[in-house]
Amino acid sequence: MNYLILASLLIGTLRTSIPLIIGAIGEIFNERAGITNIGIEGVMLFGAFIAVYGTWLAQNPFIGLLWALLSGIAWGLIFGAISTHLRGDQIVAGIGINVFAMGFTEMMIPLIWGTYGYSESVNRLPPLFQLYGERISYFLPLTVLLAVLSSIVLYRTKWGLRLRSCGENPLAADAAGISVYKVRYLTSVFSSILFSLAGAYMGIDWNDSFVKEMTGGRGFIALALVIFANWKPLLALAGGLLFGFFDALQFRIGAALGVGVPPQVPQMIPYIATILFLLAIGRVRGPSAAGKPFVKE
Amino acid sequence: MRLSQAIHKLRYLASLSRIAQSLLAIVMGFLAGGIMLWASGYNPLKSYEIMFIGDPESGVQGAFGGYLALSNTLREAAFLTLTGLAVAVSFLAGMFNIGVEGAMYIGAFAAFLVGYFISLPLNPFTNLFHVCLALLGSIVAGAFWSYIPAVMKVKRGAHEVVTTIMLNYVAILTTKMIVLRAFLPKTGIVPGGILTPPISLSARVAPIPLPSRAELTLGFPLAIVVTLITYFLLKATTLGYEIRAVGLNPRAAEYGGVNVGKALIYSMVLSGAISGIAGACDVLFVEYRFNSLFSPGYGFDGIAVALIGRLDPIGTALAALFIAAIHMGARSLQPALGMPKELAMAIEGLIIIFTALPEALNMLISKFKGVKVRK
Repeated sequence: MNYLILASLLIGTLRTSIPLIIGAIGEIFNERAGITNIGIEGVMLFGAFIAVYGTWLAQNPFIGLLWALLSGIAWGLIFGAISTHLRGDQIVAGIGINVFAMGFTEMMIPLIWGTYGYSESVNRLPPLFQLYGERISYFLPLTVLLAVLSSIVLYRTKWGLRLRSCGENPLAADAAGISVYKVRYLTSVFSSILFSLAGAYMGIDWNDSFVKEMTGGRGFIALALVIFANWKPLLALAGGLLFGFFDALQFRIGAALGVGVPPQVPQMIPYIATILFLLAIGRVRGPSAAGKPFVKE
Repeated sequence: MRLSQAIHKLRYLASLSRIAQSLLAIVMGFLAGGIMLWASGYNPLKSYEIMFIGDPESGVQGAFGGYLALSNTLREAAFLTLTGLAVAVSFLAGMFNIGVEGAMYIGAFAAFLVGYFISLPLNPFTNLFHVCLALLGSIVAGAFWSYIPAVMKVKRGAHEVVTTIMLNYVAILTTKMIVLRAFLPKTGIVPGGILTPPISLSARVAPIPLPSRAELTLGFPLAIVVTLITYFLLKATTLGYEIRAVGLNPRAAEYGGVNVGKALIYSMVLSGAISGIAGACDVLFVEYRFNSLFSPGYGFDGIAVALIGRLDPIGTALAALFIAAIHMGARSLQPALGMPKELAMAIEGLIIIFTALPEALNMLISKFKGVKVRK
């Protein structure tokens, strides 16, 4: 019996860590290229919504996934423009994206499904396999692959070097003939695709419907994970499992503690754990040019 | 003499363009909102007319469409002014504080505790005393709650965007848990949240009645007073000067002898205190009890309000009135057209995004000016 609880906790950890890791890796690419997008939560929420909507329309979760991909590209282009040509305040724009996504998705639920706060159920993506009656998602091996490939691309290829140079010293990168704006646009699109797919995973793989504010601050936990992982994809993978463990704990610990403990205590665990992790890490230095607009002389 | 006049004129022009930027961001937000309405099958002009004036067919009043609607708009504006000021004070110091929502819950809960556990004989003097005591409780509690992420930032460099968001969840869950635990047999559970029993009569302030069933809650005059105090604090005290200096350039401020960490902490404590007052307004003037879900996101609306107001206290109060009108307007769209009230939040998000683009807006403004010159 205890083994079963442990197994279910471990599987739960794998499940909850996926959106955190994907989100964090996207943001690592962003900040390494000199972009700070704190709209992760918003793009994720939007991705979850659009994936469920696409799936509901076509009765096919792969179409929903495709919609989420397109939504990610669109958000990436928008944020790419904000962080380059428009020279916007990236933190404020990110906050705006979060507020917009929260309002827009909640507004669309009744317009589409006629219900408040949650959508109809849709078909989920097929699982890789079942373990103890729990679904193991295709996203799991893909997330591990993403972390490994990201690490190789960032540190072992010339593209990675160029990308990082845009985040550390864009002036020098520009002098070396790299188009900083082009790199930032491409990076922004790539990372927003990741955020959006992380949301799609929550909408049509982990769950089978869209619920208002269903991302529940995970975009911000991913932001904390970036700092925790010291802007390194492989550490984000490891750290993500740790963060995911505390996220999964809230769903499992209630049963283990019994009825005497209020359900709000386990619900608070991931948020408090995130704060404690940030405090434990202390002051760290990210890419120097992250979040600063680059103006070509 | 001529030089100082020129500088004065330049300053005037610069401030004008800042107002123009805010107005343009609002216009762009409404344009994008109009496209959303149009895409969902609604007539944007008609929808905006219903939002601000009303719909004679269904008898729905828009935000400025009558005494009752106007009084609702002012009640909403009081909350938004306070949360907007709370955001502005922290953003001015360069702290991207998203935690106003949480501090507001803590403040409201503190006001409830003072209002519930103390019961005084009813006369105007004790009434004033009790309300002030409850407000003080909310100020202290809110200030303490915002002090936590400030210290985390100053001592350990913890990212304030992350910590304040996490603390929002903790605040909302903690107050809900205590309400459920401590007041369980007496709680009222409604779809809007879990309600505590009401506070003592001596801690309540009844609204001032106005014509045609309208009423003015004390929140609005209180918000104006807090706006003026904040204005004075920011513009006429050393602390305000230090907060603004740190926000503009922390290194230069430090070089100039400002204790940056201290300024950051004071700005957050001030922000938390104002957030606490916002929460107390709901408990003492509106609901007379603590509702575990009383805020429809006032703390997040405050971000839009503060940014539209360009982080200036007076500008923030004006922006609050405007956003309150959007809120109440969106609420009248729901019965009139069936358009969900969350439209307001979506438009707010768009306005925030546009305020983040001053350079792009400037380019637009100069283009308009260029057209005029050529004509």
